[in-house]
Amino acid sequence: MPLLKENETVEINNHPIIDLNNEKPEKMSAIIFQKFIKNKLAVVGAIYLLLIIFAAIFADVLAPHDPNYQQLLKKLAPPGKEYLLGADNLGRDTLSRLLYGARVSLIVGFVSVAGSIFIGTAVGAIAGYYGGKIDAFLMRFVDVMISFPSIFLLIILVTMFEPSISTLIFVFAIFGWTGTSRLVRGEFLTLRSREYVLAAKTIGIPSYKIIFAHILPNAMGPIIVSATLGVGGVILAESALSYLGLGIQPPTPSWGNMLQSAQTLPIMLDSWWYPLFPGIAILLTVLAFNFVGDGLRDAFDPKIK
Amino acid sequence: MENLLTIKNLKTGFPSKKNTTIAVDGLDLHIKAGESIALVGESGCGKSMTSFSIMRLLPPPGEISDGEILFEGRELLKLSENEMCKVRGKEISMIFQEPMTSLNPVLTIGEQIIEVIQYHQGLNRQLAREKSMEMLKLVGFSRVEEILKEYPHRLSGGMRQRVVIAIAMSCNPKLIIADEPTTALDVTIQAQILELMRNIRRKFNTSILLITHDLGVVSELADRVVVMYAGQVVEEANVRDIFRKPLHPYTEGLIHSVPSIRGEINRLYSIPGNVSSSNKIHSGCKFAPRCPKAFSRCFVEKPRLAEVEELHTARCFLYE
Repeated sequence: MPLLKENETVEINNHPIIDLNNEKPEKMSAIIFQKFIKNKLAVVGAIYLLLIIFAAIFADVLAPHDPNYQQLLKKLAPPGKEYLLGADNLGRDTLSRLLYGARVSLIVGFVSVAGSIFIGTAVGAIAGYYGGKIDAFLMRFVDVMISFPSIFLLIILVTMFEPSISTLIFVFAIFGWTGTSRLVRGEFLTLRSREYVLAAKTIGIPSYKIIFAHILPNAMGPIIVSATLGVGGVILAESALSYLGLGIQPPTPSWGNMLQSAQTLPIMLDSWWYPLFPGIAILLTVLAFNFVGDGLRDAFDPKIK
Repeated sequence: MENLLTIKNLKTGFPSKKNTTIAVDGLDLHIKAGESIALVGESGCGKSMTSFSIMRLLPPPGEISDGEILFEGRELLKLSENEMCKVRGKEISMIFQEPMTSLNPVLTIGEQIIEVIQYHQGLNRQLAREKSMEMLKLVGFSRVEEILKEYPHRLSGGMRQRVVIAIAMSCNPKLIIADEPTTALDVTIQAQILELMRNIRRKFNTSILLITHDLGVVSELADRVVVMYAGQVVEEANVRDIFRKPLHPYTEGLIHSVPSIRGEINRLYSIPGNVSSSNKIHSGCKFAPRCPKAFSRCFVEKPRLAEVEELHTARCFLYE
């Protein structure tokens, strides 16, 4: 069946050219935000993360107990009136420790990702923009970094230096940037041959400005996405290290070391609430970061409407 | 009158492991202050590479192997990269074919134009902002405050090309290289942009090196025409002489290839063949294989660029 009846015409382009007078300039960020809020999972993730961040910031106000106050008589108390989420093997309030632990986990996550994004972006941008020998050298260096048995080295580094928040951040930043640098390099390889880059060169803009002021903003989308996913990854890695006893040292609570003290079989069988809540906290937070990262990826992708 | 730009025996090529692809093969060109020159030729004849050689922005691995480029008596090929950055934009700027892609999509018009003015003129942000509004007014915008805050995708092609011209003109360069400035625009906008470039030239006495294959644009804007073929100049003359009395068979062919409204309707003329690969070693005139008037000598000897009439040179044995 023909789509149009006889004598019927289709008016092509009946939308008038948008007159600038009528419409306020739409910022890129506004468009991205509108696309982001269409993704329900990402919005849920974002709200959850905002709550967690809020809880971490106001942990001292929100926590019902001192996170390090031990009441040995109440050890492994089940969830109830006094201890909403139960108590741990030393009689400390799990809810309070979770709130303070969120601080540690999020600080480690955000700061080490900030560090690794910074290194990765600088290396990737320079390699991708200049290409040739500089690119080959930097990328082989990245290959070496990736081939390193990083978990092993991580463990050595953490045992060599005292395991503390700053050591952990340093270690994660040093080992986390390679993925970002490859990503940024790839973006720069395509962006550097755009005509606006050539146009910027013809008006005499120096290279460092072209790299950081002209090309980098165009590569921001993938970088933000990779950072978001990276935070989740670091929180997971911190939990794993803490679980091995190489992360944040007790009594400072972190979600990982809370799990560590719950790892004996009797506790896991008889006092399920103790390992359950830190586990859920890690799971939900990492999941939320992944949802938000996916949402941002779609929002930044101009091909997805 | 003193020459603003003099190019002597410029040779540009793209070396590879096996051989070098020659893009510009011994080009001589000069532009006087306030003069408008059109560089005309088919795709691949080396006209864009000539302009990138002047800017020293040849796409890698392209390199200039010989020749000199004098700009106001300074040898551009001997300047350091930093010194060259001060020439680009301030002394010589460039306008590109695609206004859609030559503006950065994530920066506002204001950010892009203010940056150049700040960088080259050392003005503070407020003064640079005022100067950029002045430039935007000059190229025909009325609501300049709003335009500064706009992103390029919100403007039409013609408006973008005006912005590009404003950026190129913002530091009052002495020479503008316009690489097919109107090719991507529709005809009515083309006329506006050409008008604008003419006015700017009159007002600031800026020299223009116009690179185009559109002979209509040439007749609108240029004083003098340089016809290029396979990296060489084949004919050079004032714009009226070129159209009235083309000497070189290639120029003749080019002018012949323009569809005309008047006259009878015939099959549109096209020059047979393509620009030959410049890698092959030619004995003789590079145009000879495609030339309708070629005779035996053309395939053996290389013709020189010779002055046939006053201010009218051609590289052809027909006139020797």
